[in-house]
Amino acid sequence: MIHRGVIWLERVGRWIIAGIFLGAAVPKILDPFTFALDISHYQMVPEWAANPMAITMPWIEAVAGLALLSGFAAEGAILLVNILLLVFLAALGQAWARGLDIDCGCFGHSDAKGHIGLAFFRDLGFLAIGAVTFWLRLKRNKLAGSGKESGVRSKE
Amino acid sequence: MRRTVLQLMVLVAVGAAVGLAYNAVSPSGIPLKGGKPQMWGDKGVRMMKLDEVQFYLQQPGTVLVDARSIYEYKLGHIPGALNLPADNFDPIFPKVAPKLKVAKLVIVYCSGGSCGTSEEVAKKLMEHGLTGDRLAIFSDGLPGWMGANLPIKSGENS
Repeated sequence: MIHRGVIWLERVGRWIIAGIFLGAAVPKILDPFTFALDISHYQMVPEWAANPMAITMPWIEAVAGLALLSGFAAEGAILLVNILLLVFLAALGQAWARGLDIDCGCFGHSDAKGHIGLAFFRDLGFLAIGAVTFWLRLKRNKLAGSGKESGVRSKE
Repeated sequence: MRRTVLQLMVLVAVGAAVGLAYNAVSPSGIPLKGGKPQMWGDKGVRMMKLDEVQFYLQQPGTVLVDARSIYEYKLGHIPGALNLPADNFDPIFPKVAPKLKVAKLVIVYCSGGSCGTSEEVAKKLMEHGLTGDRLAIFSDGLPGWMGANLPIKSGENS
């Protein structure tokens, strides 16, 4: 029963993060130009890095989102989104600390530019979900392993 | 753990490869090299440096728009610039609209590379019918202007 609860909690956590990352990736894939500008506004990476990041990062987010949704390479995908969230938090944190008046660019460029601090705390919430999901995944694998050892088959 | 890290690396490699391939064939693709784009969006809005802005300001029909707040504008702005703050766009736009409608080129600026409000105002201007080819963003903004020891003016909207 506990095993089934862990499976479902981990699955729901994965799907939530998958939805967030796919939702964030699509607008940036459609408008890499604006995303490159948003990246450069953070003044965190050299200008030559803005375009390559704008081209590849949304697709890495999308691939991670699809992996989380399908369960394929799920451990790697959960670890990847957690690392990406840490990078985003570092970018938002330094922008907030420096008082930069910029658009987050997290879900594509937005007209209604919110406070960068709010985006920071929102991503902190996402990271909390990601971290718990990773822990649940490890727990689930452990339970599945012990289930196999004792002859009890895992549901998934 | 090794398997997890391997999965992560494969996902990053696949994502990056798909991104590069998509960018190569997509109509909205951007150059891999070349640094910061010299255009903003896909509607023809140009990103201008100081020398270009100075050139166009000498041409008839060029209007400069200051996208910063009313307070910042009052403290100091580029002479001749109209104040159209991003955070107060709707009430002020009707007052400056007649000048913008007849302008051949509208150049928007704010507090330089990090401000982002120029892009917001440019987008809103396009929503109000200004075409991208008549719009430009002064990427260095007021700091770039002042850095070249060019004059600034203080006071209310021109």
